[in-house]
Amino acid sequence: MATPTKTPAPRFQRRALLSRLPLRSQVALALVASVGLIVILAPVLPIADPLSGSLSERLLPFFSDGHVLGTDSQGRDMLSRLVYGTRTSLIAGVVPIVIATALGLVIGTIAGLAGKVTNTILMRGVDVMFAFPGVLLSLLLAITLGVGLGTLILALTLVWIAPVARIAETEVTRIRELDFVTVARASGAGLPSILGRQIVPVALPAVLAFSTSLVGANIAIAGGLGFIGLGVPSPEPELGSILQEMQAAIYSDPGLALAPVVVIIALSMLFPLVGDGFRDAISGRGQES
Amino acid sequence: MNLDTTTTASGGRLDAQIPLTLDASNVSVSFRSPRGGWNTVVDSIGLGLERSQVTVLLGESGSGKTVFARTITGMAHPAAKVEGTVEFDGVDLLTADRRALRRLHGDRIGMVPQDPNSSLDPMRRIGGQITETLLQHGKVPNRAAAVARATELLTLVHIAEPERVLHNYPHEISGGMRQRVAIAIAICCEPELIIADEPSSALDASVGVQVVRLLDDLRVRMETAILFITHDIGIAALIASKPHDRVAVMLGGRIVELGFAHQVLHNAQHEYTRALLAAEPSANTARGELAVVPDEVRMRRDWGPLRDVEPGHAVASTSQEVTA
Amino acid sequence: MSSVLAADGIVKRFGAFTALDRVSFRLERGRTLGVVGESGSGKSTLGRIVMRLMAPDAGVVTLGDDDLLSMSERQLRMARRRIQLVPQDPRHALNPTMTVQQSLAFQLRAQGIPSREWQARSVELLARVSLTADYLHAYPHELSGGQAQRIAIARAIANNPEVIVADEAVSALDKSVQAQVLNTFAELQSDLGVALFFISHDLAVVEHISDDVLVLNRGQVVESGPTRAVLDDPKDPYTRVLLDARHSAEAV
Repeated sequence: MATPTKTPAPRFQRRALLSRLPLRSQVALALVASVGLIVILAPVLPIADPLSGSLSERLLPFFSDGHVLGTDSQGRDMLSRLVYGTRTSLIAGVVPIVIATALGLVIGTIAGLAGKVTNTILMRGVDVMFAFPGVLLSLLLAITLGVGLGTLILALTLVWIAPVARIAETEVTRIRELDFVTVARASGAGLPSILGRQIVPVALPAVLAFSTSLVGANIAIAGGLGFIGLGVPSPEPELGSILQEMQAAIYSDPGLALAPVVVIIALSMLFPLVGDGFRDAISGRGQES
Repeated sequence: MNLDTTTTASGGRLDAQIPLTLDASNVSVSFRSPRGGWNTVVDSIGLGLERSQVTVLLGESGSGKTVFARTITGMAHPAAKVEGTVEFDGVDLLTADRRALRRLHGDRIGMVPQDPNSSLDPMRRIGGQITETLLQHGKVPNRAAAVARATELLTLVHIAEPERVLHNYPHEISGGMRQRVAIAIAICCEPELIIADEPSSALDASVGVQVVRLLDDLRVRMETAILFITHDIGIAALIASKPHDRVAVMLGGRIVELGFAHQVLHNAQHEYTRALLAAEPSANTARGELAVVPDEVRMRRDWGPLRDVEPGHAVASTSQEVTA
Repeated sequence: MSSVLAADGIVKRFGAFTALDRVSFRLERGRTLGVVGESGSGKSTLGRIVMRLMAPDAGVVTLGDDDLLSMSERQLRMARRRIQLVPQDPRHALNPTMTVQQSLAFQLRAQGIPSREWQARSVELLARVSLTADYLHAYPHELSGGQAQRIAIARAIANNPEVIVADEAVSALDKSVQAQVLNTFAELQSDLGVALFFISHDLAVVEHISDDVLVLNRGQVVESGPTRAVLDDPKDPYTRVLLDARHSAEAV
């Protein structure tokens, strides 16, 4: 028989996913995680109640007694308002993306696998959703359902389903033609198995990379909507509405007035850094070098 | 006689008086390794190319042959660390500025790439792509002359109905025809040197053979030097058809055997070359018994310098050989 | 004795273009049928049709004694065990997000093999294609072209098929690597008795590995029969064109 070849025993080593992230992504992840931890633990942290304030303590400056970042025009503790405001902004920023990703993935996958007719119906529906500007939609929903966190989340979710669906559909359409899917079809496996084990896992990195990049933009948009009063109604703190309230103080206390903006910008920059890092680290597994 | 690594082995040059079209010395190319340090992809290679001569760079995927070929034409990867010199008409292509290189490419150095699908612009008609190159390098006085020359070129590469093809888009013609068009573009300014990187690999066997024959024919007519990259010994034998044509066998970034085609292909001395030759599928070999290149041979990197085994034929020695 | 795979009068059209025009063949148990022709000859389309991955416009495909094209979904699922595919491009033959073990397990699971047997079966399959168990943990991008193809072959024999359809299975590999993969096919045929439907544009390869050949030109069978008979005495000019290419590349 043919001479057997002696291949030296190969070793396929794996470094932990987190350690494969580039440094800037690791730092960004650490910062985001810290912020997340703080806002989750907010109720048990030794900070003041963000809703209570006395008018006698209005607009105290930084490092006042009992108020490290001073107070706002209603006498409420700024540090506490910023912490709880960040919490609301993060919820409004992340939750819509999570839901939109799930729904967009489902719609895009169905469209990608379906025949021409179904695909056309679904994707033209997606195109229609694309046409709706987020602000207008928020306004319409606020009028019909009332202003609030739920309405805000609903509006933002609807805005982002369409782009995710497009990405998912493109990926699934591309993947289903690849040879390993053909072989999977020929193996006798059922459609759920082929879908869940062969197609979706390959589509996921691209979809997730796209979604995490949306979080940053969405945090900023949520803040913007809050600024014009379409976010959560006062007295609930939210970074955009806090910014609104502090407008008057911009000349006397610019540092404080701009604090919400700084947080929004920082968060909207950190999330994409984390997302990009994960995408590169994961696709190092899925791509040829 | 103690020879050191690079060009000093006479490898296919019996007459050192013939001027070289391109002279590469001590060319090394490295890339940063993800774990730090450098990964050497091309290890100190020297090669001289003469007019009218085909030099086949024979090697498997990963041998560094494409990286070498691109680097010596001045088109090294931006992330690569390059060392050595490559002399072309008094200019060192490794240090030349971009403008000088742009003037040379397409004009005096032509490239025929592997994939005819990516080398042609899918959005432009064939005619436009050829005439643009001609006009850019000032080979014709005006558009009408460029069109006439383009038609001539398509005829030269055996394309029937050239006037019609001039108006086609790349996707409207077959893969074999696209490759002929790529050749037409590569030769349109009558270059002194053509680099052909696996020009037949992406084509059906029968079509690929026709393309290779065409290249052979053209280099005789135009007296061009050709550096022909391939992993396929049959194709190597086909293109290296003249007595002065050479074959250089590449393994792991180094040349392990270099000589005239008949020497390397019929009197191979290096065990890797021999293994490659034995691995050709033929009707005569019983099924299941095709010789395979052993991994130990394929993965070795400690070959010594090239030493002449006969005039014009040099082989990388193994460490056991005694230095004279 | 019925053949293991046979087709009769296969016709396939894409709009106005006829990809296959009344193609028929028989593949006997444990033997290799080489299907040769240039790009556009319809050979890959034929491969898809005989695996019922694409429906023909006319014609019959028999797997053993069974009419493949008129089976119910349930019957088809079980029949699929008997005919498997090794595709062309090693870069896309395996799912990039799955280790070799996971790819093999998917194949075993599809035919109901219990999970406790997966690892042992996988190690066995790798041994049949001359790869050690270390490769179970590899991802496709960590493999060379030849290794990926051998794993694609291991996957194809996972459930002991009667026929393997090899669609240009060695065309994307370096010539020197083709040898190892061709040897693997030959060994498996002699050890397991599996029949091979070997599609290729390369006559030298087809000549080496096939008992019988089917020459396709633009969707039509121009010549067929035992390999030596056809290639030593070709009747059709197209066969001669293919032979000519092989001869001139055989200068060594």
